[in-house]
Amino acid sequence: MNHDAVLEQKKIMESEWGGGKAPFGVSWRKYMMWIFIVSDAFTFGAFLAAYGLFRVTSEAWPNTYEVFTAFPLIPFEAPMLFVAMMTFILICSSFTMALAVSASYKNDRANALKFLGLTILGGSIFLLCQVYEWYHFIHDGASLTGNPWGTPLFSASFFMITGFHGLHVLSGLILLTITALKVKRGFYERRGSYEGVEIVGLYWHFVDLVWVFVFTFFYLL
Amino acid sequence: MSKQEHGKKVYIKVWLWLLAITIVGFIVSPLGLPGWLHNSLIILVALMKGGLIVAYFMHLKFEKISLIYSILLPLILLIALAVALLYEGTTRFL
Repeated sequence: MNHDAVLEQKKIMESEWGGGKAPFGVSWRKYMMWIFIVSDAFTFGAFLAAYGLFRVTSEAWPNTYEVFTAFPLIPFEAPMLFVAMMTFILICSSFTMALAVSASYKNDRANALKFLGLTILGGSIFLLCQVYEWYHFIHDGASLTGNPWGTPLFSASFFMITGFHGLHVLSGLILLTITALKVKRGFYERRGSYEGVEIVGLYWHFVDLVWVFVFTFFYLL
Repeated sequence: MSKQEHGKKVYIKVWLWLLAITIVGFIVSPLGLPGWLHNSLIILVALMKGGLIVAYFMHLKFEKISLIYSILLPLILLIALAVALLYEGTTRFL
């Protein structure tokens, strides 16, 4: 290699995209989580777009305020109250997750564990609520191929969308539990970085984010 | 990773905002507003909530601009997909 080529090579290496640097200002782990989140958003986006297509091409669409009226231990009908409560719980668990990340960056292991625990609790309650919701819906006669309120596409998209979201909540809970155990055992402290907590946090906030849109488009609209 | 932006106060503020606009989105529905107004309000509330979660809880607001763009730009394709499918659904088949 002649001298000019060496200089040229050096110039490339020193540039932002030459390698050995972080052009996005984050570690590769965090960037990969963001890429995963974008791809997952595409999956949910496809679900919701298909649901929109089903809905505008169906002659009639059931009114969710008449379908989702059950609330445990309440004898009268409470339209949408249960789903609103689930939304509230998930937003709160997102909040405690943010606090867990905040505490872990201050090397405050006790608080990080406490808030991770609260996040897991919130996620578990949400999942149990979803079990109740599914149980009720199925008990009322809904399945993937039909339901008493009209077009089968209504219950089919309900089961596909909320089921896929529930699966994400479940995987999130498993990841959160593993992370909490790692915090407890001092794994991140030994490694000298609590970034792992933040990355799991990103995923958990995304699960909350998806629910905001599922709640909006499936239940409220 | 900038630690100073992980302030507890900011999170509490964002959380309260999220709860407030969730309630707004919820009481809008039984008001009996005209369809287009009701739907735009509901979608606006969802976008505000999503924006708050992504910007503050997921911390994207404080990341480098290249990261922000590489996350947000592909999502425009999602909106394009939804618009295309709704357009197909409402015009060609009816």
